[in-house]
Amino acid sequence: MNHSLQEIGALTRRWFIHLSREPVHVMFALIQPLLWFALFANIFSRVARGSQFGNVSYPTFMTASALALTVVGNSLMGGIPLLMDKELGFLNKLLAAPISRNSILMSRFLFVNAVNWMQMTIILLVALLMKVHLETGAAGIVLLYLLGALLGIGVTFISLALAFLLHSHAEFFAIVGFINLPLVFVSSALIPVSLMPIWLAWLAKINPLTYAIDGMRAMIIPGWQAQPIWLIFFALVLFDAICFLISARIFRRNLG
Amino acid sequence: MCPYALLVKLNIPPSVRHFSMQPAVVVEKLAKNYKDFLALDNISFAVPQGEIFGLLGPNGAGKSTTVRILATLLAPTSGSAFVAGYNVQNNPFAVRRSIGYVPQEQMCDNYLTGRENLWLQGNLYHMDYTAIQQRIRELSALLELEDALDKITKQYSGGMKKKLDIASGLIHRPQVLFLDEPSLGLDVSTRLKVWEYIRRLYQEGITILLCTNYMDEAEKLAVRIAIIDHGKVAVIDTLERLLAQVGGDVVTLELENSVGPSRNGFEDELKKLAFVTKVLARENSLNIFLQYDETVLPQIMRAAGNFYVPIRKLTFSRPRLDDVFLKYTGHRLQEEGT
Ligand SMILES: Nc1ncnc2c1ncn2[C@@H]1O[C@H](COP(=O)(O)OP(=O)(O)OP(=O)(O)O)[C@@H](O)[C@H]1O
Ligand SMILES: [Mg+2]
Repeated sequence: MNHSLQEIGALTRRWFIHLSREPVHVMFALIQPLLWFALFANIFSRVARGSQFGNVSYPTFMTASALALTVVGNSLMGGIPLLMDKELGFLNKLLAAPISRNSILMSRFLFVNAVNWMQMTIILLVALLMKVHLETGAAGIVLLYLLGALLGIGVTFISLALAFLLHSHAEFFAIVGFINLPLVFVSSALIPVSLMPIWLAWLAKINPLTYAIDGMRAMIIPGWQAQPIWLIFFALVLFDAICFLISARIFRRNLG
Repeated sequence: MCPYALLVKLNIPPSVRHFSMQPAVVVEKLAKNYKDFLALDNISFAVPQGEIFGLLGPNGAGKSTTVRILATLLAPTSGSAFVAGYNVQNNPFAVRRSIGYVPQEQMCDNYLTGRENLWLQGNLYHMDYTAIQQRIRELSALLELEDALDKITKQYSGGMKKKLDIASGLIHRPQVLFLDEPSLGLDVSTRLKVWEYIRRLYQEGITILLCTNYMDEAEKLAVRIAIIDHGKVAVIDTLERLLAQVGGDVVTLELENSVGPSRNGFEDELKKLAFVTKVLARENSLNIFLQYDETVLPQIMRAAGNFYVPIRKLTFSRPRLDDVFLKYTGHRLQEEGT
């Protein structure tokens, strides 16, 4: 147990050192969520004005989307450093050491989640500046971070599994780019599911992102209940479980 | 203290140390296929504890493949291997705890400083804080890395990176060290230094498996050598015995044309010298096969002086591992390289 903690601690610290040595990454990590937020809130607010958003302002509506999309975008990249380690051979050095293979994966989860939460915090602060009110209070904010973690865990599983399945980071970026866009558009990120055509609504309902966003929106906008909260948590936990089961086999095959 | 280190401390000579212990590495009929390419073809060897064992072979011979199997990174297709008494396939965890692995490719984390790299490695071997600090001090002094320790390794030269790799393979005081081409890409003086460190490690009693395709590296460091080529072991023996097989040292004298009958007396005199094993006379030259030491050349010159034999040129040659290589594989090591 102590050994695992020591391994995970050291490996996680390595990722934080990487982050701090790459100022461009830090900048990007800070700016990217703001970009989402500013772009969507501005472009779509014109479209949305006068339609059926009730008395909810579009920036308020978009806060949950910005939070969830940031978590997805960042978590999808979560496998990249391991893919680099694999390409450079550094992974072999880790694998020749007497450490649990799970510690390597665990360090990625901890790091990715920490960055996700940091980015969520930035978005929430900016949202406050834009006069978005977080009316559900402290409990709502805690649940907001919990939803972010549940969404991030599943997506990170996918990303780590891809890192072991694929051979180069060029391949990785191609596939991730392919996943990312439809995931966003077939979700409640831009418009509520209730306003979608039937076929799109069906697709959106099997998209875990929809549940995360609906859940987050419910925490930000009092009375906004696209889905019951229990269903949202159930769907996200189910998503994490499925991602775990699929990727566990891939990890076992590649990490021995 | 492990029993082996005790023997070292008591100054028990290596030849005795080795017989008293189980081998540090045993490889039995190991084979490895990459798809339908046979990279290792039933190789077997054993490395006694405390020895530097050289795996010598050209590019593609299968050295790195062997070491990767021994470091539990690659599963063999057939055969078995034991490190520090543990089976690499059944007990990889115990093997990993016993070994240090310095791969052929440079393998420090470019974003970390030297110190952070070593710190990470120490934590992966579950050392505590003070032990890691202590070891970083020792190793950086040994490898002359102190000044670079807090620089990011991206800024290191190739030689510094290699030294850091060696240091991180040693941080946890492994029983067995795998060095895959430790002087690849190093300049002459750095390479000599690395050799010196390796010899120092040997004196501390650590077992070293050294992969190399440099003849002189194997000659300078290894106690025993396995020559491998195309995935097969061509021969395994001590350096001395391998060299003895291709003949001893030779002094060749070129004589002036004017040598008269005194030449016969000179030859007889040479044959009487204790270190001379054979004298081969040619028209204007003599090949003297002998056991070389520092007194040999003056004695030959003195004999030549006594018999008034004028010598125009003297050359001295020792047999090289290269000749052994040629004998067992049918080609020279250098020609094969790509
Ligand atoms: N992953 C792999 N897939 C297919 N073939 C491989 C793989 N790794 C090595 N080989 C082949 O196996 C053979 C042995 O390779 P290995 O790396 O063990 O040689 P080596 O003796 O270490 O050579 P070098 O001196 O160049 O390091 C080579 O012919 C190589 O092409
Ligand atoms: Mg090699």
